[in-house]
Parts: sequence; C-alpha cells; structure tokens
Amino acid sequence: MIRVAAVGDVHFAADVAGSLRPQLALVHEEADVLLLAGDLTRLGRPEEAEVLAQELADVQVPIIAVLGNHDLHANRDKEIVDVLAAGGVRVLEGEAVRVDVDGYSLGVAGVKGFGVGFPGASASDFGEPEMKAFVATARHAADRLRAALEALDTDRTVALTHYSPVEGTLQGERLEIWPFLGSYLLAEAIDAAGADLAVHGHAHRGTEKGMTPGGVHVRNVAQAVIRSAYRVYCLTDRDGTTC
Amino acid sequence: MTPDDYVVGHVGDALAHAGMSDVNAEVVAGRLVLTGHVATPARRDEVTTIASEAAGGLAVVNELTVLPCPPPAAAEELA
Ligand SMILES: [Fe+2]
Ligand SMILES: [Fe+2]
Repeated sequence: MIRVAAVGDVHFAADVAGSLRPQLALVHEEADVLLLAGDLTRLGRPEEAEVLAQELADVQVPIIAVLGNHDLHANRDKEIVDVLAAGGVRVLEGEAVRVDVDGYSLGVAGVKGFGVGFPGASASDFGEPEMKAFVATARHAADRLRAALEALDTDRTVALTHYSPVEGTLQGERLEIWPFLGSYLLAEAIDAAGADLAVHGHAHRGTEKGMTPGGVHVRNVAQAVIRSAYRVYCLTDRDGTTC
Repeated sequence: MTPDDYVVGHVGDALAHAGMSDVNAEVVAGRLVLTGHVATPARRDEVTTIASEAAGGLAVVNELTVLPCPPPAAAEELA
C-alpha cells in the first residue's frame, strides 16, 4: 500500500509563513508522498514560492506539485517552478514521476488543467479565436495528462490537477462558474488512461469526494474544503493488504 | 439588478486582483456583506480594506471566517 498526502490552494505568501510548517514536518508519519494541487501562491510571485519552499523544508517525503491559476497571475511561473525545484518540489506540467516505497511503486501524472465545463454545458471550439484558444488550452492539458498517465508503469497511479475533472466535487460552487472550475476532458483522459485516484484543488467551496464516469475516485483537496493541513488517502494493495 | 449589484462585481474584481478569491460579496439591506473563508485574521482585515475601497460608499460588513488548520483526520482507504 501507499499513503498519499495531498492539499491544494494553500495560497502562500509571507503573511501566512509558519502556519503549515509544524503539520507538514510530521507528514512522513502518515504518508509516503505529499501532493500539492496548485494555487501554491497568492499572486504568482516567486518570493511567495520562496516562502512556501521554506515552509516545506522539514518535509521528509517526496513532494510533487502542479501549479494553479494563481501561480500564473504574474507571468512568472517558470521562476516559481525553479524556486520550488530548488526546495525539492517536483512541479509537473504534462509529465509523470515515479515514487518507490518499500518495493511498491506510485506514479503521479500532473497537469494544471483548465476550464471548459462539463457535458451539456461546456464551451466548444467555435467562433472567436479567443474561444477557440480557451478550448484548445483545455484540450491540450487533457491530452498531456493522458500521455503522462499512459507513460507510467507503476503499481498505482494518481492524476494530479488543479482544475476539477468532474462535477461531483464542485457541489457547493455556483453553477454559473463551473465552466471555469473544471473540464470533463480531464476526466475523459483519466478514464482512457486509467488511474487509481484523481486529486485536484481550485474549487474552494466544493466538496471533497467525487468520481469520474469511468469509476476513478476524485478528491478535491482545496484547503478550504478539507479544512486541515492536508488529507491522506491510502491506496491499499491489490492483494487486500490494508493501511 | 440594482446599481448595488455593480458594486458586487467591482468588489469581486478588486478582491480577485488581490488574490483573495475565496470571498463572496452581496448587497443586503444596503450594506455590502462579505462571507467565506480566509487563512488569517490579517487577511480578514485586508479584505475589509480592499472591499471598502471598491464599495462605492456602501458600508461593509465582514462576516468572513478565519479557517483553522488542524492536523488531518484519519486516512481514507481506497481499494
Ligand atoms: Fe485556489
Ligand atoms: Fe485556482
């Protein structure tokens, strides 16, 4: 089995420095890996990422992240990735990473993702170039997630995104903004490639638990949803060994 | 819609630009009421300042909750 700790939307900056550090320092007692589901910073500034990197300094398990929309606000996302990488955080955008724990392997495929909405109420690539670009961005993200998942050959796999792949975890958010909170294209990619768990953030007023149409567990770990430093999901062995 | 509804739009934009997207704003009985969650008391006060500047003279009622950050609950097992 492998234990996955996850949290999203920490929206870090100097004014909240120290708020997570005591809890994160103990994450190895409960989990084998820590996933960060985007919106790592408040305004997308590298100095905010620097504060987060310091906050994560005591974490003794591999840290894998995707960026969120806040992290792109200042157009300095590459610097943010570098700052976090220097702090030992692997930031994924259309890539996958493998973690080995006691002879057991976990693959994490990550992409920020984007909106467009859900079947019957989604944007289509029709009309203005801006609308086509919107949908193309979402489609590209989903394609990259699928390719990253398919490249994995591990005992268990997790899809890590910022935007939601399903509507279930958006319950509580105003219906009008769902097309800006997630994309069914992500779920379609996850179902096509297969995964054991999909973790996302972004929907602060949403719900923790959902499922893709293909039956993959989805968990919204936005900090405002889980109301704790992080959540732990234990992927049990296929032979029935429990956590 | 009343002109006050435009205030809600403007306050929403101002808060978004400050990276405070977790705040819900609505006009109730002529006052701008803010609800939602923030991480710290200082961010709660900051929201009042930002919203007041964009509120077009409406009184601001800050009903935001500061979210505690307790240790995680027991792990969820997924087969
Ligand atoms: Fe967020
Ligand atoms: Fe977000």
